[in-house]
Amino acid sequence: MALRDFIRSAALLALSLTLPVPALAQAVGMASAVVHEAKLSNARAPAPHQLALRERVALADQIQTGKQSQLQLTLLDRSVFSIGANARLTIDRFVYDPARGRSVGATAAKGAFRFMSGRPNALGGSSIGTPVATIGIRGTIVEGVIGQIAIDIIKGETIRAAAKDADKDNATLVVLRGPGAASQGDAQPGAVALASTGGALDLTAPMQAAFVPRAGAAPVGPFTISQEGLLKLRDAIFPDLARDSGKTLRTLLGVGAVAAGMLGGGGGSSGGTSPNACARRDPATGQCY
Amino acid sequence: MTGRTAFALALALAGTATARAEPIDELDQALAATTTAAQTLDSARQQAAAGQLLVALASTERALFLDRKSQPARLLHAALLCQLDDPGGAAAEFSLLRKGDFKKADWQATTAQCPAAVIKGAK
Repeated sequence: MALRDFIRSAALLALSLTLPVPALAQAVGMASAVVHEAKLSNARAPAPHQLALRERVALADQIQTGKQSQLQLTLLDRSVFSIGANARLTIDRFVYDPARGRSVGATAAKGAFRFMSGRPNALGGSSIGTPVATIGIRGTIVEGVIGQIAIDIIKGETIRAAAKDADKDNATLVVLRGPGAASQGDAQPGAVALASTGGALDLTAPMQAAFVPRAGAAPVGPFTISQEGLLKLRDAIFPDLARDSGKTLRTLLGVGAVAAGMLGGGGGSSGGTSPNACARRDPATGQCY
Repeated sequence: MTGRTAFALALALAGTATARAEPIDELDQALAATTTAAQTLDSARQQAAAGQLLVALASTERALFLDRKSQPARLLHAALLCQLDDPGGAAAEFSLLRKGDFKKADWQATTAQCPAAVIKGAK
């Protein structure tokens, strides 16, 4: 081999090893936990396929969960999305510099979700879009739910009047979960700026919540969500956990219903309410409201 | 440049490339190292001890995905919410726990950190 050819080959070898291999799509995170059905589709592979544990997720991938399913998605900066049953999520934007921070943009089109910010951030805020609102996030844990479950939760809260004429597909409930001002460790106090085409408001303390009933409506709130409302939201995000929690179900069903053997234990026919006493049973999670 | 120099340069550059771990690979390795609920919970405890509370909360949540019956994970989850100054959320979680499901020392150590939430929530 002539020296010139050798040098050229060595340079090409070096180049091929040092330059990133052109990826089909930039991975922004991976499925860190999957319970039951969670499917991914994108422009390159439009037919949804079951997400495998540790499968990489890229920008614009559409993720959809099935009945009684839940998914935890961890992004490169260790931000975490958890989504419940029948939810649909897309990561639209992800800018991450390990030295400075990150900015995440996502769309939650259906279902319930929890987002936890990752490593400390100096790049700017993150945001989650829903069909009727945009949730601006600053270093925080935020939970949300879209659709009928949001309306059902609101019916038990102080702003229950807002449930009237709410859009059963798109109404959005958002709850700031923290960290609070007295948080320990490396967590910074969190805040949420909720905006719709009808107005905007800020959530600045854990348990503060707001509700956007439909497109064009102003956010209703802030109000402090009740413990029962919080548990219903928890069950929507983590249906697999809820099914196993007798106490959660007792909260949802009422103590008398449990006595009637609604949890499958049988026996005890006195003083209970029949299963049909449920005002509404969620078809996805089996929960009773 | 001699052929030997060029080859050395190629190897050096290649070495640089392979030594630089990509964030996605770091994440993959971290997840691969904690494939069971117990391992994930151990990791969460270490993260919490290091003050990485949000990361620890995410790990605890993952442990519960892996084993929804893990009572230690539920207890740590409630305690972390307390440390993150989410007393309402912690009280809601404690309301789902039963003292009798835990070792006395574990329960006492945890509840000592957030007595208000326990009083509101736990049975």
